[in-house]
Amino acid sequence: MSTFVESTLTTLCLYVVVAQSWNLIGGLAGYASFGQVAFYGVGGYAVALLMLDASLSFWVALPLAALVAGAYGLLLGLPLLRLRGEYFAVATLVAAAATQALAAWQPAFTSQGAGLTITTVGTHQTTPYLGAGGFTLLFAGLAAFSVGVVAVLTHTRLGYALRVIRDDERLARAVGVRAGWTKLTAFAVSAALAGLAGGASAFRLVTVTPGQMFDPTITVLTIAMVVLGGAGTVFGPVIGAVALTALTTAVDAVLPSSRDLVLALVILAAVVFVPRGLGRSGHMVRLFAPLTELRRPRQRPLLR
Amino acid sequence: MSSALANGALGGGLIGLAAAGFTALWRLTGVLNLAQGALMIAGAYATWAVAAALDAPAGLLVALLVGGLIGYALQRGLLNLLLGQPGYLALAGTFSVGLALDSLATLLFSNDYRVVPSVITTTVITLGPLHLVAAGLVAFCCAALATGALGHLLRHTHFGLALRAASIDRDAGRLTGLPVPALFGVAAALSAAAATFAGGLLSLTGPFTATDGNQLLVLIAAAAMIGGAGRLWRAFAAGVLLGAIEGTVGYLAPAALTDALAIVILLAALALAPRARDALGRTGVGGLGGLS
Repeated sequence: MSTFVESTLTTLCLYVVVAQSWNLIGGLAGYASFGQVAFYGVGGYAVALLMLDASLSFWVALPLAALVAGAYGLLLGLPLLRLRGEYFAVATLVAAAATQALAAWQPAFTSQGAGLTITTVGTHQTTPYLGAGGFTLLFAGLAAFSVGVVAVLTHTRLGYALRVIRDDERLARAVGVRAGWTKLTAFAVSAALAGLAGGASAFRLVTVTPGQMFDPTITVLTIAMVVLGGAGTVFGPVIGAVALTALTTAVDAVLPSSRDLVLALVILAAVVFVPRGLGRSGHMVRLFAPLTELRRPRQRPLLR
Repeated sequence: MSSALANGALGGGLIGLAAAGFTALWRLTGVLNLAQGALMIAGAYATWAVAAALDAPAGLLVALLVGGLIGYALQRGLLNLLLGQPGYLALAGTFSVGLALDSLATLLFSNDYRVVPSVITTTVITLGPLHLVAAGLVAFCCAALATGALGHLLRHTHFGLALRAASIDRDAGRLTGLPVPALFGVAAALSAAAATFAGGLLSLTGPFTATDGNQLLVLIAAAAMIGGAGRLWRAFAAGVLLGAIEGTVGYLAPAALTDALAIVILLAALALAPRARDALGRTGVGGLGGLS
């Protein structure tokens, strides 16, 4: 395989992991988190710090990073999951920004925002750099793991409880679902998955900076993938990740300077034209519904 | 120290104005406009570009106009289509509009810091123990006046009444002959114009760059959340409060801590206001009531 194909596959698998992580809390539980990148970043910094300061092997640091991100999810989830809807979305967005600010400020952790560099060469390295092929395999494994986690969870008591909460939280409580505990568990697992993705990315990137590890664009791109593929389904996020990774790779090759602009337009198109996702039946109807709505607005006054 | 606090509070007025616009649209249509920070930067660039050719007041007028146009187009082209859909779709949509504005600004103007040069930028007024930056004082007064005007428009005019009626029940509004989509469009135009006007004032008081939008958004959203979906002056006051804290913290500790502090205040405010937790339903649209 050429390096280009390997790096594209790696990026694709990375997004599958983050998309599944969002799918757990946003798709299954209906709590749209706009701060998922916080856990990605925490995972990344955990791997970098564990490898640099504690001289741990990457293979030990990665699961630990997932634990750290999961614990951070618990910590943020305790106050934030009491909020609903837009309040939750914006609170998570602000929480992610605050996490980035802390990472940029804390000098002992992150050399004051200048970035940490994981040792990958010489005698002090803890784990040899995996190389393009190695990272493709690693991320493919993580992607398969994340799909497996969501697939298994969907069919457990927790998965059913999450979907009841999404559809009607009061009903869920009435039928005996422990809503708070259920949401918190889902949020922590979701955070741990994002932490895995971030941790593996940190080792791949070698140098981690707050701007890169906490880029809010990652969160929104992920949400667009899940929306495009179908929120709450097992394979929807995979479909969305394939579609959007293909597109961003193509744009990167042709128009690298206007990448964010094209990205924004694609997310807008996904939101307007396929709000229920490609993975659901009847999507073609949805695809054209807004267009017909534009031609023949139904929002005219009924009486005049 | 007290001067740092006062100047911070003056700067917070600009956040307050943008947050008041944010709150107005939130209250009226149930949408949180995550492009509000990027709109502020767009207004700043509009003012900067016109001020270089003509003068600053003309720049502010153009900023108002640009904001109104973008807001109206945003509501009619995107947000009206998403009414009744899950709330996160509108959030993702407005965030990507902000991303598009940010990247357009980066493409057009690069990442250099800009400021509108003027006499008042460097003038300092001494009031007792306080040393206030004149430009900040003028901008604060403009922001307070604009917030008041927006509040007056929504609460005491026939147009505001129609808008609030349409917001409380869209179907009933349509039945009584209100042009609901257009009214929502005007609401978004006013909200966005508040942001671009605040951005225009920002360009008169200090340097800004294309990538500042996200940080501004965090402050705006935090101010709006602390203010709650209630009266506009609460959001304005919350913006001033955040600005004062930013000024003081920036004086005592690294500036990056400010965002972290904003979340602590936000969480405390949300924890103390039980209304906030149940105020909005899952979809966030529908009968939200007016600006009571």
